[in-house]
Amino acid sequence: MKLVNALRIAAVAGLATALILLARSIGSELGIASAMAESAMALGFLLLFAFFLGQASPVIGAPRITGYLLAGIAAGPYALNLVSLESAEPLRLVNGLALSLIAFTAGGELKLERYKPRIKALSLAVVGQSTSAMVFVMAVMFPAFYFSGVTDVVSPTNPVAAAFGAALLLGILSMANSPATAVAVITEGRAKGPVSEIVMGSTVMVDVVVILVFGLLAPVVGHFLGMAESGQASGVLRHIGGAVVIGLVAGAVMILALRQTEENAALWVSGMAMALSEVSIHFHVSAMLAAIVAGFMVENYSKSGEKLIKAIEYSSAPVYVIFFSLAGQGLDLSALAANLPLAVALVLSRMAGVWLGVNTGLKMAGEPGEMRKNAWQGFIGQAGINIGFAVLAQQLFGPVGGVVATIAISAVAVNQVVGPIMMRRALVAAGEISSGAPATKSVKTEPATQG
Amino acid sequence: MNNLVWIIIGLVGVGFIWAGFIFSKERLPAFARETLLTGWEVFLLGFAIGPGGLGLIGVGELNQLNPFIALGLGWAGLIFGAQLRVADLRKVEPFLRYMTVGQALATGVGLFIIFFFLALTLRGGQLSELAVAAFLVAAACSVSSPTAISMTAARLPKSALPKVRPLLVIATLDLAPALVVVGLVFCFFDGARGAAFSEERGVALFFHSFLIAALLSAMFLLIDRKRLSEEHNLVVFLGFIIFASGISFYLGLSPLFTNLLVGVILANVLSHDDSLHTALHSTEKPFYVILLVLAGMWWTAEGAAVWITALALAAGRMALKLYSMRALERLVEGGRQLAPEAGLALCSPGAMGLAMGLNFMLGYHSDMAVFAFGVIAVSTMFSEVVAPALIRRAVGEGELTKKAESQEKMNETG
Repeated sequence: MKLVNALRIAAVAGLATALILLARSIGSELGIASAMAESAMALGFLLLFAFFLGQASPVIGAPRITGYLLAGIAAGPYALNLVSLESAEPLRLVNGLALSLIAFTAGGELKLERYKPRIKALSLAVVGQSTSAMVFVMAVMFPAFYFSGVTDVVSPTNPVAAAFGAALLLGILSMANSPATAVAVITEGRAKGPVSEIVMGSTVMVDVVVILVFGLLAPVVGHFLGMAESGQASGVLRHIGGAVVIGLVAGAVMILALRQTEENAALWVSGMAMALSEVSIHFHVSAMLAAIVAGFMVENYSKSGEKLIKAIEYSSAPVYVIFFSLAGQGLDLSALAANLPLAVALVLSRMAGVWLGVNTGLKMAGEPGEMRKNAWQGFIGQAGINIGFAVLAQQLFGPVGGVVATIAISAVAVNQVVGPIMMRRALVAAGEISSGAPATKSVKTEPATQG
Repeated sequence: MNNLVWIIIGLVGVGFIWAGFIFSKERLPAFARETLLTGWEVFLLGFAIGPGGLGLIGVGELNQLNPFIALGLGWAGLIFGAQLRVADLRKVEPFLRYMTVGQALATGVGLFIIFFFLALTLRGGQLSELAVAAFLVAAACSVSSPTAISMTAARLPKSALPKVRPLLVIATLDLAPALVVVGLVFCFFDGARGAAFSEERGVALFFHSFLIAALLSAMFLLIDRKRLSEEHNLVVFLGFIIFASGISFYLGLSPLFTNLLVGVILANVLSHDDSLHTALHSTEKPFYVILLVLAGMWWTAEGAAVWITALALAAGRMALKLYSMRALERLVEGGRQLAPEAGLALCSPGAMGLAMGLNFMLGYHSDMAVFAFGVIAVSTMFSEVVAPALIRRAVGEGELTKKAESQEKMNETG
């Protein structure tokens, strides 16, 4: 990035910050600040501030979403406090829309034709990554919990069982990846090639596996933690089956709508994303899974796949900026600081597990060494689904669940920032995105590193 | 299920779909084409589903849609300000400038008096509150809609166009004094303290409005939009306008005024090739419709006093526009170039009147503001219904029939 550009971006971000501080200062001086109106100011500020920090991300070799996340963290209540939790709360409506759009893209990228030759590598990468991550995390976190006495405090009657139950729970949560990160980094860099295919396909499949494993092992975790009713395996089938049915219906509706619509495809897709998110919440099924199924159906069983992806690209830009910056803004940095040693242990053990698992899986599938060297870095990112499961764990497993949730979310905070950077580096190393060449954008030209 | 999400889905859907109809009325039957000039029907749709109508949406949910209102009001202010290039304004004939200001001033003063006394008689209230409402109502009801004129003109024979052009200029420019009045009222009358007048606060906020607008403009100028893709330019526009409007709402200023200032600064600083107005205009339609739907949701059509005052204002406005223009035609050199009943063409206030009313109601949160917004809404709708007939009468031409239209096209091509 040229120096002039970097300076421009810094000046824009600086002016936006100066303006919000000026408004606050005038408001307090004249006693006229309206709390109700603060959310509009916060939304505008976050859109601009995060967007331009995203533009500057290539300077540190990171994709745009890292910039959005860091902007959210910087503007949030634990840093500069330019956007308070209260003023950001109404904006979180956008989360459902963003996750559905991301999942549509993930499903839309799963073209059967393209993945058929790689199905063995995909399956082995999924199995290797998820089991290895789980085992490594359990192996490190069980003694860490036991000797640190963290789980003792909340469950003093049986410290070994409590530590094991907590480690098992963290192990399950560690399996999950972030399709959001994968989609964002791949679409941003317009990456194409074996590494991006393996990462995209596997992260989506791993999420389905995590939903299954969480449902199946929740009673086991509950047993170790002394919880009688802590989840039923039968609920898992309903959870997955319901999401698939809703996704199929949504996919069929989208195929019909996209066939009829020449204009406003972006509108239909955004409307469908919001509606799908709400319907899934209503029926207590995974909105991500439903949207993945819908996107998969449109891509593989109609001629509208390209139209779907283009529509998402057009409508998703502001949504992604808000979604990822709000994710950063909501990160509880004080909890991260309090649990730093355990969070670091979790991050490192998961990373080691992912490296070994993906490498072994791909080696067994006969993939070349270059591919193995790069692909594992695409599995580090964690985001929404992990936080969702952490919150669920807190609800299901009482005090121990609370401890696990705090540590898991703290680790997600680290992985959220580190994951996109590592993934982008892997894609650059694999030659699937350029580190500086212009992107083949249809309308205007932008460096590929930025978009 | 979260009602607010469904509201947003509905809003965006209506915005995009109806925008297509509003701007190509050819698809509509003749009667609808006649009356649905500036899209007040979507205002009624908003009313139907809002708290004042069927109540499908509650006041609490409506309050959460603030960022959308901020976006709509900001967009309207910015797009208007972006048209005010000094170089272009200089090209406007002096008599048109005088007539614009003269008729706006006469109509504004007349409407202020009508509203003030009718509201005092029919409703009562504190004088400062009444005065603020009268200022805002006068400003909102004295503007004219160039959209209504151009939509009607599209159905007139080509021979009518020379008479239409000066009317379009006046209708476009008479928004400027009204927005300045709105801006000043928001600065000097404190919405949070019962519309109390405060000179100190007013001067400070007026100065700060310019400072904020200057900083926002500087920020916009630093953005290298040519390097950005279409989607990213949309992000920049959305963020910029919501931010400017959000600051205005936060400080109790008018987003219309702040964005107007920003638009004026940018229009005069940016190079001629970098037309901000064109960029904004290409994406304005859905935001315009969303703003009208939201305005409708806030409307409560209650009380005979609203209807009586509104109808009196609509009639007064017609008379004031007609006679002030007639008087100016005699007084101003060159004024006689306009048709004798030219003032009738300026009788449709269009969406900007409603936007100003909505801005007032949200900024002042009082019963008087609700009353004033109701008056503006009713009087606007009445004016919109009669506007096409008045515009045709003003330019002294009948509407083209389909046959005549195709004949005219053949003449052009032949």
